[in-house]
Amino acid sequence: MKDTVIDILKGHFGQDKDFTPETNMLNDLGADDLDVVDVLMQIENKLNISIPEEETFDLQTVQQLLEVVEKHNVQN
Amino acid sequence: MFKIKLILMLVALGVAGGGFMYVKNLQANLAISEANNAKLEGGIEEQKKLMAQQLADFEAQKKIYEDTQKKNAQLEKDLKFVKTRFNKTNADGKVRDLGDLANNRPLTVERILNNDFNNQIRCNAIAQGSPLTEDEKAVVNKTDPGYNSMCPASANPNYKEL
Repeated sequence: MKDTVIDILKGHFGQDKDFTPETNMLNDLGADDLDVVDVLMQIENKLNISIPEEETFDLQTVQQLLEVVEKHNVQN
Repeated sequence: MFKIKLILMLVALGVAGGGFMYVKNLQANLAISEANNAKLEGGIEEQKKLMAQQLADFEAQKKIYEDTQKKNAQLEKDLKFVKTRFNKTNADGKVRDLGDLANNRPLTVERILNNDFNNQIRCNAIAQGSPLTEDEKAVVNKTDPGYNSMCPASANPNYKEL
């Protein structure tokens, strides 16, 4: 699951970028809030999961993203 | 003999009278020259004041021009930013589809667009001369309070764009 998320992040933001758990998508990757929505959609489609929107409003770091994806990946 | 003396005396009186008239004339000319000189000096002072005022006006106009240029550059940058906000291309070359995002995550996109709308109102106020708040001035990152997603170049002068 983690590799899938990182692959999607690399595809979206660039292979040359560093993706650590602390990486802040908005501040470190040049993302805007719509990029985060786009990435979430790609993850949902790829892993065939559904993540409630209310849980993703304030996502910023890769760690937060992984946690929310993991939570719903397990549930599914 | 008496006639010669009389003639010499008359000549001397004539010379003295002529000299007196000459000196009087010189004094009158000198007085006119001094008056003219005073007028010229006054004129020079006036010219100096005028030139200083023109220089000050020029500097003020130059500053207004520079401020306008700076503001235009900010607005151009903001416009470019907004133009790419809704059809940004990601690293894979895929262009953002706002409709698709809104269909799939309507609450999130609504929140974002509402925030953008409020930010745009603030951008208009800033463009019309509203002073920046301390929060807006202090923004360095997108996650800082006061970050304006619609016109960071105008609203957040210290924002470091990647």
